[in-house]
Order: sequence, then C-alpha cells, then structure tokens
Amino acid sequence: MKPLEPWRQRWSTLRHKLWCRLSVRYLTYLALGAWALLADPFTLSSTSDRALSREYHNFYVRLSGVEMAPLTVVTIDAASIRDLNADGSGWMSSNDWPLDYADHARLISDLTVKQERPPASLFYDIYFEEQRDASGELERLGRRLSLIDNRGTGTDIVLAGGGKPMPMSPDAYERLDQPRLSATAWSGHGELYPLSAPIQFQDSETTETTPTPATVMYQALCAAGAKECAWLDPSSAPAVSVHWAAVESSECIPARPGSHIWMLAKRFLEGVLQGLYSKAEPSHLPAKCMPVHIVRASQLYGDDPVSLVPPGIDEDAPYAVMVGVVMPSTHDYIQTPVYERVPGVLLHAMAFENLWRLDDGYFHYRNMTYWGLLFWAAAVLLFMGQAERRHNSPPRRKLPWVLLWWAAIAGAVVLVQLVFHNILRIVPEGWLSLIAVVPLLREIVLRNEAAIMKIKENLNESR
Amino acid sequence: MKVAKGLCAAALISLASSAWAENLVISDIPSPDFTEAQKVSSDEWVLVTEISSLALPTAATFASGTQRELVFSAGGQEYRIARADVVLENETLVTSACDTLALSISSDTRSASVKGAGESCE
Repeated sequence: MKPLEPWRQRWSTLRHKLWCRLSVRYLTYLALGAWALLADPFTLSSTSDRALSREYHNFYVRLSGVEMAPLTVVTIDAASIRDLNADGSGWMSSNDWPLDYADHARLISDLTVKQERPPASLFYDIYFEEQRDASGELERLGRRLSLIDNRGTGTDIVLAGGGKPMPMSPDAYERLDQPRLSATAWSGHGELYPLSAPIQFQDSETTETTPTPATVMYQALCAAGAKECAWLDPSSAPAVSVHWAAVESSECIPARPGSHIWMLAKRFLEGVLQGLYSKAEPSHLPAKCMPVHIVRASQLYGDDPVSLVPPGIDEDAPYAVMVGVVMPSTHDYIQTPVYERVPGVLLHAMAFENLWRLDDGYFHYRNMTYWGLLFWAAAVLLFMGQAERRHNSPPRRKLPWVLLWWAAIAGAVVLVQLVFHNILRIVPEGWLSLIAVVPLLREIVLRNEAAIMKIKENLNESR
Repeated sequence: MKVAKGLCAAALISLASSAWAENLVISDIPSPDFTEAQKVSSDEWVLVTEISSLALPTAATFASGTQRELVFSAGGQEYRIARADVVLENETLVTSACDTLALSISSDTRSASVKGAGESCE
C-alpha cells in the first residue's frame, strides 16, 4: 500500500482539479445525456418516447373531429357469411371463411358492375396466395376479373399481392389472369405505412415495386377527377405515420364545447393516473368512430340494403371501396394507439383517409434524436447557470418549485412537439423522452454544482 | 315454349321438398353480361348472354359430388355454372339483427392457434 500512496494522492488531486473545471463537468453531463438518448440503454429512452408519443397522439386526435372520407369498407365477417349462406338456401356456397372462389367472384361483381353508382376503385384485401382446391378453381375468379376489366363500368379492381415476407405463387397469378396487385406485406418500416412496397413471386428473386392499397385508392380517385395529385411519387415519398382520426359525434369527438373539454380532461387524467385504473391502457375510442363508411357484406343484400356509397359525399363524386375480413380467428389485426386492435383492412382505410385529408401534408417520421441532444446541451447550461444563482440566493420553498419546473419543462417540450406536428408534419422520435429525463437532469446538475461550489468555497477558505 | 318450361318448372318445384333436393330452379342470373357457364361436353366457357336458348326460370341440379356447382340444359347442351352466380327459386337471405360489428378487440388479446386445416411443411 505504502508505495502506491503518493500515486493515489496524485490521482485524487488530479480528479479534483479536473472536476473543478466547468468544461469537464459540462462534458460529463453532456455525455450522460448522449448515453441516455443515443445509446438508449435497455431501450428505456425509445420506449418512453413511444409511450409518450402514443399519449400525445390520443390527445391530438381528440382535439377535433374529421369528416368522413370517400371510402367504404365492406367487411366479410362470420355473421355475414352465415346470413348469405342461410343454412344452404342462400347464394353463398361457403358457410365459413375461407370462401369459395365463386363466392368471391359474385361478391366482386355485386360491388362493381351491379352497382348503379359503381366505385372508382375496389381494393380486395384478400390474398390469393395459392390455388386452394377446396375452394374451387381460381380460374373462375380470374375470368370474372378479366370480364369486368374489359367490359365493366371502369372500376379499377386491385387484389392484395402479399410481399417479400409472403411471396405469391406464380401459378395463382396466372390463374387469376394477371390481375392488378398491391403489396400488403412488408418489413422494415416499423409502425409506419409505406406508400409503395415490393411484391415477389415464389421461386424467384426478382421483385416488383407496387403502390400500397391506400396509395392505389388515392391515385384512383385523383384519376377520376376528384383532385390534383401531381405531388405523389410513391417510390420516393416517405412512409405515412398513420393518424387515427375520429369523426365528430356525441360518442366520438363531442361537438359541444362543454362535453368536449370534459372528454379531454378525462383522457388526460386517465393518462397520468393510469396505474390506478387497473387497465392495460386508458380508454379507447370505439371503432365505429373511424371516418370511413363501414358496411357488413350481408347488409348490402336483402329487402332493405344499405347503400355502398359513403354518406355525405357529393352527387357525382367518385369513391373507393375496400373489402376485408373481420374475423378474430384469422389473426389479421393490427395494434393502434387510439382504437385498440382493429382488422388489417382498416389500416389501409385509415392510411387512405390520411392521404385524402392531408394530401402532401401527411405525418411522417423523422428521427429527432440529435435535436434532443441539442436541447439537452442547452438545458445543462441553463441548469448550471441556475445552480450558480441558487447558491447565491437559496430558494425558500422547495416542493412547489420542483413541480412548477417539471410543468414548465413538460410544457416547453409539448410546445415544440406541437410545432413539429402541426407545422412541419413530422412525428419525431427521440424527443419526448426528454420530458422524463430533463427534470432528473436538473436535480443531478444542481446537486452536483452545489456540491462543487461548496468544495470551492472550502478550498478558498482554507487558503 | 316459355309456358311449357314454366309448367315444367312448377312441376319440379312441387317435387322439391327442400333446398337440398336434387331438382332446383334457377329463377335469375344477376349479372349475365359478366357470368360465364362452362359447357359440360367441351369445358368451353360461354357468356350467359351468349346462350341464346336459355330461358329463365330453368331447371337445374347440383353437379355430382358438390353443392357449389349447378348443371342446367339449354339448347340441347348441358352447362355448368357456379351456385353463387345464380338466384334459385327458394333462395333466402337471413338478415341478422346484428347491424354493428364488433370491429376492435382489446389490446392485450393474444391467440396462438391457426384457423382451419393447416398443412405446414418445414
């Protein structure tokens, strides 16, 4: 021990000297922040960012209702299949999913050529991956699609095309008579909805990039004259961060200011007191609040059929139709921040609604982690300065000030978030976790700075 | 000709006791411009509008071994047509009381089984 003693003392003095330097302390605090934000230990930063982003999304959606989009979603659900099969005496041969190809053909015909006001485009969100002998002959469906395409009323029919994770059988593609496909399976985009994605055929390396269903519907309505879409280039535009909006109604977004404010306050309280409610998540909006016209397949038949045309659109305005399966046992569900888990077809529907309502101003993701670091660097300076001030005039009340500071920091971050969201239309990541981390930073920095100042004072006194 | 066919159809209906009976009557084909029937003899596809000798209603039977296809005669030829593409005499539609569908399921739902027959091969 003794031979090492002078070294330990030298090391101790050096550490002390270094720590007394402002730049060293500043860089240390900065490094701490960089580690928390960039290195993302235990994914704490990104997880808290996502959780806060989800809460912000929920709040923002409830601020104002939106109009119905010119889109109808026709659902093939268990009850509809039962109704149309009617125990064998209905037209539908199948009594359960999957349906016969002939049933698909009949359904598609009824949604297009049999309509007095046919849709501009129909997306059939059912993936005919492979010829399934138990469902009949795929050629039947292929021939029907070709007939409609050649002699029909101009409705553009698009089928689900799978994607790289699930390539289509080339045989099925030929039997369907080479229909128009749209990629419905992709990877590498996280929770975002890309505007185009590659489709692939089995036993082949080549891929073909197709626009995704929301893009196809949007382009179809543009082509039908509804609006100008020169801005859209699916291969280069960034992916959509789907904004799960809701319509204005008493059960969704109340129109009356009183009930509206109460709903917002209730949601905020549920968010901040979440654990006390013993639920996985705070309350969600019911799925019927989605701004698209949703019709069950069997409701289009019978003595009093529901209209396929979405309500509220103009006399001659074009509209789009998407057909999807709603059946929990088929697992085609996606998690949403506002509506819990909904059938996959509604993801395409909402992405279309976003494109339709916002056009080129749709929300897209941007990694703002470096901006977060910049903010952190500024905050550290601010707190170091505040420590200096506090040392000279110690505060009288402690707890209320802490809460006030937390509120001020949270407010500042939310304000900047509003700028990103509303003006720049970006959904930043690596930013909101600052709400949680910065107040902690403040305490660390202040405490450290206070300690340093005391040490400096003692040093000065001893000299 | 039409009256004779009608009488024939009526006779068939009276013989039929339920929808599952062998003898059925096709009362309508909803989209004849877009519906095809397949000639039994040659497997050739023909548009319904091009079958000039077809007069509705007409008798039909289920094709052997399946409830999903019907066979009918027109002009001496036998044709195969999908059940889904026609309207049968005693066709019904059950309108369920359910107008609103349970669209969303709760976030913490998990399911670990496959619907229906799954032949998989690794």
